[in-house]
Amino acid sequence: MIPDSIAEISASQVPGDLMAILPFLVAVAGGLVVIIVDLLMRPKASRQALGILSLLFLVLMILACLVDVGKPPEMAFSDLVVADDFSRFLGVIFAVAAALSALTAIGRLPDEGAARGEFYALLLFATGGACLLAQATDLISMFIGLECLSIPAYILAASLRRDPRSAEAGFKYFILGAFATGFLVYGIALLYGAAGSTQLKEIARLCATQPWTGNLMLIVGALLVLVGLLFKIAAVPFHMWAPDVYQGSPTPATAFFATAVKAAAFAALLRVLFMALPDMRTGTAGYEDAGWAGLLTVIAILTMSVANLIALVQNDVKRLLAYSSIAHAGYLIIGLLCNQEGAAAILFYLAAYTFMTVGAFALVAYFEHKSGGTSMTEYVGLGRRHPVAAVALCILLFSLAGIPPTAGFFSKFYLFRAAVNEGFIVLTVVAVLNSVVSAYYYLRVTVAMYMEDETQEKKPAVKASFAIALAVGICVLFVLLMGVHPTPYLDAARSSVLSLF
Amino acid sequence: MLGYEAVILLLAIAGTIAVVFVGLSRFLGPRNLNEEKTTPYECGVPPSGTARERFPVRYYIVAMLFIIFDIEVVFLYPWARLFRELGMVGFVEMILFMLVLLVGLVYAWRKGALEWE
Repeated sequence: MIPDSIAEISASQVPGDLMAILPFLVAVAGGLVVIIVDLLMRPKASRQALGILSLLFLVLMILACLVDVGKPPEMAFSDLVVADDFSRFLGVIFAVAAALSALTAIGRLPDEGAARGEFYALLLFATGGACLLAQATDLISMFIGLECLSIPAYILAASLRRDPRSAEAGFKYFILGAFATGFLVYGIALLYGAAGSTQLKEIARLCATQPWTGNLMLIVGALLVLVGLLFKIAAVPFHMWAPDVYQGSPTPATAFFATAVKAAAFAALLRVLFMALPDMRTGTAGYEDAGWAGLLTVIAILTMSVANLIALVQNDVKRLLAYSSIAHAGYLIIGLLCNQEGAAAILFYLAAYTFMTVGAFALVAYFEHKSGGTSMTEYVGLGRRHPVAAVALCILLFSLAGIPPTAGFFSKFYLFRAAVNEGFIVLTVVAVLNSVVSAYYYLRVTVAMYMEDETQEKKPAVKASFAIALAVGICVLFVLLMGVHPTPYLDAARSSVLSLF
Repeated sequence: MLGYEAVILLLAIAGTIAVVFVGLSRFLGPRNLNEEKTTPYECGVPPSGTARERFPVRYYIVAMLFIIFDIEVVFLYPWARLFRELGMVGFVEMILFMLVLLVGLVYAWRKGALEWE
């Protein structure tokens, strides 16, 4: 029999609970409003207005995150979620990534025959799921957030209904994503079995009170949860799906996958590793490498090296950017090993990475529309035909390669500095060598745009879409701003990670 | 094993009865097969064609809609059981939940997911 007090407690807590997940609620309400407005519109009418409507909700979501910045962490829904600066910082990243993807979609999708209302509604639902994932302090709410993010993402991948590659992307993403979710759920079940609770802090308490090395259920559970999350960030050896999915999906959706989905999975990784499993970082004396630190070192090196080497031989710019995003996940994993400073570097990196990657994909979408393909040969001579867009792509690619004075330079700098301070010298050397390698393929695109001779006839220049121009403009602006004056962003990242430790 | 003897005994008896009865009718019963007896049972309608056919994709849409509202009912039962204890908060939350599903239904309806032709 349920006591009467439950009703009283829940009634008095509901407003506070709902305020704690306000960004999530704004995103989901936005998705529902987009669906309803879509029904009220004539079937043949342009759906660009829905894109603008979703932008409005994403701006509201950013405000909902920013308005509470600095407030102490606040638990809600019986400690299932927390509203802290960490989740607010990431909430802004998700909303910005979704807004820039929506802008790209407004400019791009009508040409692809995918200009339906669902695209924006699903984008908003996925953004809401990402927010919930970043707020989760319990494995169950984390799982709900991850599914709420992933399922709309699977549909977004397949949203070019007439394109077999898009269908393949959606199907592959769905099957492999469901498989990874299976790993995650098994892991959650085993962690629950070991700790008797799905609360992250209860699992941490178990690890702190008894040695974890003999607890097989705990170890296997933690490993399975890690596998599930590493799949979502596309770390090697769980990266196989990423190139096909990123290439086959409509480019605005790809931009969202490469940024918001990845950032959300990193948020979950940070929460799980630092809030639930801090004591499993290293093994017992004599076996220091046996913890997750040793495991992630290997995965970081593999992810960076494999992705960068395969990217060298790509002849399709969209696929090249897919491998680039895998490589960046490799750099980001280094941050997971470097405690507080590393976590701050990850947040800064994710913010910078969002702007450079969405900007690059927006330009891929723009050129794709102009010339009809994403192959490297289509980029030959773009420096002359579309001078402004080509310069913007150069800046974004330089930033991805980590060349100053761009955001990419400082994000790598902070990350590698944190790694050196923690004593990961070899790992840092590997990472620096990898970013040198990556410069080759980023610059290859630049070389194609400016230095190779045009063999095909000149295609007529068409007027740029205002929405894409706006998205690229915002991205370039922030990439330069964060590169010239990174301090405020780094300070925000630093104060945001305090609640994790 | 303590406490499980009864269960094991029950399993053994049930298994023995099943094997013995099926085996007896297999060996003792007369068997004269004809066409009516060997065709698969399809609700009394004469079967036509092979079962391995391509289904219209609408089957899946209807099946998905069914599952959504099936799950809604699953959520409604515990809510109805605790209706008084949950009070106004529970009522408003359930109404919101059903409104969200209703938006989905209206969307599917208007987009033609329920049209069979």
